[in-house]
Amino acid sequence: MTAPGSGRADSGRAGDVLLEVTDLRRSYTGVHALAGATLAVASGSIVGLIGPNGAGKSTLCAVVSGSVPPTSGTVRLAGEDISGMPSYRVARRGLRRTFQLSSEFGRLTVLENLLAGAAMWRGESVSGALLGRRFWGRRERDLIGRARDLLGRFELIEKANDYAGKLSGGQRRLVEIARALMGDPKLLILDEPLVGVSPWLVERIGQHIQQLREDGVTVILIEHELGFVERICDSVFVMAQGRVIAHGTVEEVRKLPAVMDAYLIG
Amino acid sequence: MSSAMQFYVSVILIYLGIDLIACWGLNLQYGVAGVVNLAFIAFQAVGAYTAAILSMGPAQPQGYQTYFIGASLPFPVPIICAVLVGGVLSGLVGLVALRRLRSDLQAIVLLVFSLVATDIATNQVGFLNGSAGLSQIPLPLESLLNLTPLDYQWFYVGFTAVACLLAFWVVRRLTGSPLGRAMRSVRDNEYAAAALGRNVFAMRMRALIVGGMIAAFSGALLVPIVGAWAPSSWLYGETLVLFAALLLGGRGNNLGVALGAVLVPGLFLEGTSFIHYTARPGFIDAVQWIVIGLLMLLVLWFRPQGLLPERPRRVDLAPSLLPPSRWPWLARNRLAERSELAGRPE
Amino acid sequence: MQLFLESIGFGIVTASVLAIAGVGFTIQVGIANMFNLTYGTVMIIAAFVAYGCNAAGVSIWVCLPVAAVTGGVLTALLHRGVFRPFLRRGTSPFAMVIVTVATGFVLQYTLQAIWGSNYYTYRFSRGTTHHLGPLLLTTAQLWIIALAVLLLLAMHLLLSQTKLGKAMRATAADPDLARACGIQTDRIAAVAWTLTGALCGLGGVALVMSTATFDFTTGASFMIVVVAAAVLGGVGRPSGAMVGALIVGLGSEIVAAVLSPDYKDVVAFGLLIVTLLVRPQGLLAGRGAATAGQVEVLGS
Repeated sequence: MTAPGSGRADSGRAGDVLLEVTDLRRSYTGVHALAGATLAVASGSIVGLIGPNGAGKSTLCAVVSGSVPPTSGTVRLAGEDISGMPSYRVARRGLRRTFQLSSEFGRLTVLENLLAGAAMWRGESVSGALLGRRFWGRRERDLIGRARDLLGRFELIEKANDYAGKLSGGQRRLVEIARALMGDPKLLILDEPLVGVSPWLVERIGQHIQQLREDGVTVILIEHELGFVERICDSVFVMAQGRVIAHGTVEEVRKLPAVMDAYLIG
Repeated sequence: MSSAMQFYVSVILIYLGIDLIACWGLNLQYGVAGVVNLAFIAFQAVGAYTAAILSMGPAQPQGYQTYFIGASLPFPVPIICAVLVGGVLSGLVGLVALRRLRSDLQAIVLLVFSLVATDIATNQVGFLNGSAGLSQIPLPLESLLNLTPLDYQWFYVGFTAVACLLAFWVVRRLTGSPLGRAMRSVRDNEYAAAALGRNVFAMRMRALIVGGMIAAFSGALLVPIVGAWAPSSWLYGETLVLFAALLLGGRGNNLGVALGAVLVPGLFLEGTSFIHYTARPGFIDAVQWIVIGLLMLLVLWFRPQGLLPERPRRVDLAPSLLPPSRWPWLARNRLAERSELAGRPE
Repeated sequence: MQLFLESIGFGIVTASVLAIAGVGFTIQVGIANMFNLTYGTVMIIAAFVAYGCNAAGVSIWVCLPVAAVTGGVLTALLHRGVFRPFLRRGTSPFAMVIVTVATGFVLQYTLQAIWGSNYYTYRFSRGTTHHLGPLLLTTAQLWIIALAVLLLLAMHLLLSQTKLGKAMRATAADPDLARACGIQTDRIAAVAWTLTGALCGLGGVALVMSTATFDFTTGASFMIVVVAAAVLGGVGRPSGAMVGALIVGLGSEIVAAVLSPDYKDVVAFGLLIVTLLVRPQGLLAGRGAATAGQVEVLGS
């Protein structure tokens, strides 16, 4: 059983630019949620995205992942232009994201949530389904094995057969992250994963995220907890008013006057 | 049992079988995939009309009913064609109705399709004989088998039973497969499902088309035994009866839905239809609708998951992870799964 | 040509009825974010109560307030007793459709069980026919149009000028924000439901006056036409409902006269589907407004 994320050539060598966002804009009737955001994320890094409320972090996440089309600007993933692609197509190219609001599949079990997170395969076509277990059973067992490994890693094995909707807030977040990992992503965007999570679990989540680097997954972490971001991330991008205004380590950007202004105003 | 009684019982059983098939089809669309198809009955009608005109032969110029096409195709061709036409029309409707709309507007759009279909069938007389509808629809294999009417009824009961088994096999396979799980994930949270690579629109289309084919299948089976088919046979309220069955029985659960089919269209509607209340014609019908309405409200309030709620597949990932089985005789399957994962020979 | 001009006359009358009903319906969508498909049945119940008064010898015009009260009270009871409990529970939008349709069934078929499925007619004088330019309208029809204009004007003034109206608009736009500003959203919602219920009742009487006869199924049939008018103009927008009513009313009558009366409803259905496909936020929504089927801000 290979660990998720290993042995893939297409994410490039560590250090190559994996995600490139150029002058991205998105407006809603007069509101410029994104006003020309530009950033580049290197493969194999863990990068933070911080900024005051309303800075456009979630909008950036939504546009990059394809939930919302940009008004203008480009997004490139591993060199390929994915601007304006619908979210399912972007996901199939190796991008996974979690949501600010809990988005587990409430009426599926935790295990089924993970299985539903695997990339689309032939068991999910009508003909494949009708052919029965003989056709899809083998891969299904492989997926169950992979899911079991992930659940073990995130300490959720006991909850495997519980409805995902019945778990605590922090556990649901972990399910979402584990589910996102089932699809072997190159890039994982975590949108405020710590909301509603108990403090001891925050530490564990931090460790899980750091371990992702070993699996070859590049991570963008959107968070407000600056202490957490400082511990986990290699560097951060600071956003304010729809633009990226700074990049560097937390310590570096903290001292920049532009950043201090942004937090005071925003 | 007297001959008349046998006739009556056989008809009840046939109707029950057809209701089961219809409920399984709707369950695939709504219970599993979350498509709120308020136009379901129109797809049953499509199957019924198609099977009818393909077995009645071309419309006679001097005849009393006019309809388009018309052929005398042998069994089972009309049924197969009905299923195909049902699938195609479901696809066309889906292209329009399955856009990104909130679920209540989507339901309203589909309801409107049902109403439009009724309007067209009623007003375009040359199409399917308008509001009078089609009648004298031949029974499949009648001349070949040459049975007495009563014997033919029992033959048809067996035939419907086989059809039920076929339909159940199909929905069971689909629901229990990774496709079923993918559909349920789209139902539970389409944004998360899309973010995991699922094409939500395509998933819903699959559910709509396969469910539509099952609906048409049920219509093709129903129409010969009723012998006639008119717009009044498939008013939009009939879809709501099926929804009541799904809600009461347990949407998402094929056995639950079967229970709902037995209780609502079966026991309740058929059972009360032979109460002779002479006060006023239509009184019993009105009371039936009142009860259906109240039933839906009560179920949605007290037990929206239904009598037999959906039961997802449970896999034992580690010993003693599963709760003790309520049905020990089913535990054998579970052991097989466990040992496969643990690598132990059974 | 004559037929065409006559149909315009009918169209304006139908549009008037639709406008009265549509404005009430669309405000309900805005306030509660749900499609109340019991609306049509309540219309007919109010019309039936008015019929009772009318049959007892009262002029139909005097029966109008009776219908308004019936509609208002019944709607308020439905909201308090059925809709609000389900909404508070977080029932899904589709399940709310089932709730409202089921409630409609219970009401409609209770009437049918008690009184049977007869057709009823109001007794009132159509008055003389007037020539307004190329159009031909009876006195009664003119009164219906006048009623519609009056009610719509009153609603517009209420929503734009009065404190209550502004509170209603705020509640519809953003209930949390409204509450934070000190608006008692529960009470405002209750008032809104009662008011729109009154409009519903008046719409019912106007409908029957323009179509001559009714039975207990007339309301359910008219329901989707009301939805079409509301969606076409943009749900939650009273001004949108007025525009939608005009387009749907005129459109269906003209098509009925020129092509065939059988397809009157199909025009409304078609407009509803096309709107949801092409511009789901409705005609009157601003450019770049919220996507597919989201409820728009209430404001006229």
